Amino acid sequence: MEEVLRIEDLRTYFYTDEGIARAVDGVSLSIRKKGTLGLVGESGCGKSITALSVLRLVPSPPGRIVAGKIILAEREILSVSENGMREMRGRLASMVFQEPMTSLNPVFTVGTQVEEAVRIHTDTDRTEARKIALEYLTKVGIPAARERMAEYPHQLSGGMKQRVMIAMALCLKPALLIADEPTTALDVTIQAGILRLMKDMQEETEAAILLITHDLGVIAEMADEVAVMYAGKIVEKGQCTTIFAEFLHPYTEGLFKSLPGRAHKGEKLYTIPGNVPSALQFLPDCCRFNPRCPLAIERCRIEEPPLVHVGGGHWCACWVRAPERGLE
Amino acid sequence: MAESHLKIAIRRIKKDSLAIAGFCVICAFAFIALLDVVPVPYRDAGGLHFNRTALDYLARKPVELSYSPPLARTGVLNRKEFALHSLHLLGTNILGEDVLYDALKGVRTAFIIGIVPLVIAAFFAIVLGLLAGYYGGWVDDVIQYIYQVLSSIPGILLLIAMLTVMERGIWQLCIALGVTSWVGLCRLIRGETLKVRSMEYVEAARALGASDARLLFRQILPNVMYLVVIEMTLDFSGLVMSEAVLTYIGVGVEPGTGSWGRMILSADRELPNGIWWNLTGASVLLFLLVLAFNLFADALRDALDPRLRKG
Repeated sequence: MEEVLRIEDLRTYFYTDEGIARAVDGVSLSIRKKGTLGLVGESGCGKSITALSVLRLVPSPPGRIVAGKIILAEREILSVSENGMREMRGRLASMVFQEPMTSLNPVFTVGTQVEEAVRIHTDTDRTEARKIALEYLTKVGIPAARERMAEYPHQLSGGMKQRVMIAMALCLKPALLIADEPTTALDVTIQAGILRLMKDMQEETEAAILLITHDLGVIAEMADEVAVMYAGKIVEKGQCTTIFAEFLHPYTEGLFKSLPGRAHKGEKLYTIPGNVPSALQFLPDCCRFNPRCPLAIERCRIEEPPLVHVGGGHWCACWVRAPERGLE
Repeated sequence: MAESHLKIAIRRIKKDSLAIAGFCVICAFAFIALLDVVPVPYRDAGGLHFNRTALDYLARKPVELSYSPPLARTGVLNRKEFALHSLHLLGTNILGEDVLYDALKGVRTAFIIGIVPLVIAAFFAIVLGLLAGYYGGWVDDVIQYIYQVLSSIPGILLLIAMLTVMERGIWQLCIALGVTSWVGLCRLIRGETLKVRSMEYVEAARALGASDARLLFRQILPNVMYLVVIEMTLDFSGLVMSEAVLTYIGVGVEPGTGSWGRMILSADRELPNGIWWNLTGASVLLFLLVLAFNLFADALRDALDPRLRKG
């Protein structure tokens, strides 16, 4: 099937006063049409920067995409002019952010903002834009959408706001929707509804979804494919079912072990020891996970493991669990 | 039900009786100023004239030969019965001109001086403040340099210099005041823009493909506009008073234009003769207008304060 997004060896660095932060350091992934890729990892692993790189929204300076290829709907976007890029945002790819509370402009009504999203790229007049806005607000499941359009963001609940954000992101039928932790800031009771809505909307608009989350539950619900990211690199990727059944990388294992459902009552929850290092301190020439890895051997400290194919579309970068087997 | 921020602000102000009183006083003054704008045509031997306003028609009194105290009758030889329109309610000044009429003529000048420079200043402040805050980098440096230099020159010196170069007149005075008074607001807008531009809704709009101009004027400007409204109401009274001060030091509006400053200035010749009503008339109106505006501005600032927005 055709690929909507292909990222090849993307490197996004931040040139700060304290040194170079290699926030994204050689990430490759691809998403098929109507597919959903879950990008998992702890905070500070470079998931969001990867997503922002796709839209070329990395704050610059200090950030810069220094190498790699991003092919979005058959266009190499890193060689497009800024104006050309602006034309693509919202039309080819758009984004839903984590924080619905602050993602809507407080001084405009909800209707005006969705209308505005329609009118950024199209020459529709206000009444036409209003119609489209109403249509999409209804589609995303906002009850009494016509009345709600006259309301201000502070009058809506978090879940409703996230629905509005999704309507704004999808009203121009982009080929790719990037969802950066779309349910993290919401009440648990609302999360499932938003996820279902994203799936329904995906059915309807045939958009591919790049879903960023640290919640493996969300991944299980939504994704066909999973990529696990640690310290700017992808350490494991594959079909969702494969990863859930036979994950290899010790970091993935750590993520699974720290799920609350897996612990028995009364037992302490598992935590991966240590923290994600700051992007300034990502170690060169070794496995970046080695200081926190329970399986680390000597080789992990002196040589970086490559991402190797272990069969069935399953890739893993680990000297212990995937020692270069399957490498053609 | 949905309520815009404007409606919320109005509702809050309505609860504040002092602000309402202030607003009524402002309206009354504005009405007088408006009367002084509407021309009432009249015909004489020379043809049709439009140089007389409704205020002239209603309040102009004949010029006497000398000063007279409040409630004096018009005309040295006036033998008419006691009637309101034949009285100098506030007396006449040392030149025999009616004090009430002069004071009322000053209202329009006060409004022009209070509003036009603000519009000019707001224009500079908004454009430069937004650009500096949004783009940062060298744009910010240049704009900051301009206003640092401007604010390092004593305002009054700059004003006098500008007014000396330009011809004397009310519009020139407005331009000079406008050009010298945008720095404070510009700083505020720059700071607020710095804050707003990193808000998620701006980022979200950018992710939807909005251009810089759209982000600046559709997303950021409406969120800093409250500063402009507050600053304008707060600055109004300062500007009205500065007219009096500038006229006092001799660089104010041209003679023939109503001016409280000139009325106050003539006190140095009048007070030794016991003529207190000219000074009082002008000062009371000035005081009333400034007080009313300050009361209203205070309430408006509270009402528009984004930290209190939800209530």
